Amino acid sequence: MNIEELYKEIILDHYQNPRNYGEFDYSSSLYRGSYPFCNAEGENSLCGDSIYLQFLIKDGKLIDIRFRGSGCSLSIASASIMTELVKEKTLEEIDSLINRVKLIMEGKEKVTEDLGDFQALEGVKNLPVRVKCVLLAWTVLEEGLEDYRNLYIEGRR
Amino acid sequence: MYDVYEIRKDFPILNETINGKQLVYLDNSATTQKPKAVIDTICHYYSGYNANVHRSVHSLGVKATEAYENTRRMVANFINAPNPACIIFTKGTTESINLVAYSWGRKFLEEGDEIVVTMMEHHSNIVPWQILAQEKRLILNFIPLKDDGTLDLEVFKSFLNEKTKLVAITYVSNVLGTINPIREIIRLSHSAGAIVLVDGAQSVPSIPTDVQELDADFLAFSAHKMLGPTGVGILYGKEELLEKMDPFLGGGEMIKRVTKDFSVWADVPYKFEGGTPNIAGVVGFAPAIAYLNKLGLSNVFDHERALVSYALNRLLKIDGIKIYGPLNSESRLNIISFNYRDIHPHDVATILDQEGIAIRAGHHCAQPLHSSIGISASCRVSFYLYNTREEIDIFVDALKKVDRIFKNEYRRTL
Repeated sequence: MNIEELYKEIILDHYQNPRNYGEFDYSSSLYRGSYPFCNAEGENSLCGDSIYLQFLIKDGKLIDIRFRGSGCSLSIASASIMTELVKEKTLEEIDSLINRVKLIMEGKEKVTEDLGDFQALEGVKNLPVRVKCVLLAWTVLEEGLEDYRNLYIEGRR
Repeated sequence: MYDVYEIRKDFPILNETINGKQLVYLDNSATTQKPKAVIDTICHYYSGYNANVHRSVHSLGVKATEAYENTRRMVANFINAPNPACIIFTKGTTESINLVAYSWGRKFLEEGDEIVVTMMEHHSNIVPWQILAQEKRLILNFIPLKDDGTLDLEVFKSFLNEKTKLVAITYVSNVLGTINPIREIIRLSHSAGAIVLVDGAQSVPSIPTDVQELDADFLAFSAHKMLGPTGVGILYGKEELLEKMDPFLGGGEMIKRVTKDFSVWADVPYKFEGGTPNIAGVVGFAPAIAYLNKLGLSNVFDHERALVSYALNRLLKIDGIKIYGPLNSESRLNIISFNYRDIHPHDVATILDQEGIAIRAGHHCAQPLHSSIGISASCRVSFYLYNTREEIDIFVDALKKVDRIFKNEYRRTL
């Protein structure tokens, strides 16, 4: 794999202009009392990179998401791309998306067009130590959803 | 001095190509490469005299035991230990330090006692003491760093009191390359009644070490950072301390006699070497020491000093390079950690890797140090006896490629 290919425009673009970056404005009436606020954070123990996520869930759908973090181009780009992919998806759809992303990074599944800009990250599967960077945001979201289910969905307490 | 181009021929791996490029190995603080003599000795051990040590009556066992004990004598000579019995083989520096925490600390430290470490320690010289401190309710004090990456000895002096029982300190920082004033630290510690454990993982491979002259109570280091095999660590301890300590791992080899009710420990050092050791590794460490002796460790030190000084000069000329630790090559050993512009160390390391250049990126098992200088990660290059100026040139030139890939200005502020 050509390294310039890996660091192609799409990844650097997400890195330098991450989408959905920042935090919700909690004081805004748009959010007040309307949704359970969910957040999650995680670190890559290899390098101390961190990702912090906030997301809103309504009627079983993730309707909005923000992230903040410090990390390498791959972890930030992956987080940015993830926030675009999971918006307006049901929790079940997100579960399967997370699973697919993991399988792609393990080389067990190919990316398809519906994964949008994530296609640009497929080449990372050839750099085993960097796979963790790509998966950081996804595993943080996975844990956040698990927490949400434990806290807010009946019968799971 | 020696001819670096000549000795490179002794290291088969240096001819390897990585991602289509000639390997430039600059991750020597993580582990060094092995000369052919080490590789051949291990191969010869397994094909010629593999047997368990200290318990076999047959000829192979005798030969294996002789080779194993020969390394112990060579290690003792290498650091001028008074007696080979002061040399304990472990699986690495980490285990050596844990052994002291377990066998000395658990027996002799009591609630309220104090241990001094530094902000520049490797996790292996922090975590064992944290575990012990939690268990025994001890106090752990960290000597802070000054802005130039050296230790603040005034704060250190203020820590010392009659409750200070142990000072556990690295001779050389594995991130900053700082060479600590170890003699002064040992002298101050002893006058306060504390014993001193020196983490020599980075120093012993490059700085001639005389444990008697240093008056270190314990010295821990690893074979694999000095041309030897992985899985072999050394703990030197003063004999009177080792005698008083409890065993480490209970099992075979470390006993004189076992009954249903009690056991009698073997003598030092065997008391601390329970179980079958890494015989091939220990046997393979002997030619590594012989190799260093042949080159002369002070020549190795001079060679590395010249390289680090050359690399500092070249790096400091690059716009956007931030170097951590002392900027004069006098206080720095063979390590340079840096960040390049806002580019994450992982990205730098991945791009350099594609050029065949191996560097380390991350926190280098020293998170407290990184937090204390306000960063989460850095890039690290570290040199050893076979590195050349040309390799430093290749590395510095490759940074231009990193720059090219990340050419756009950063608009995002974190």
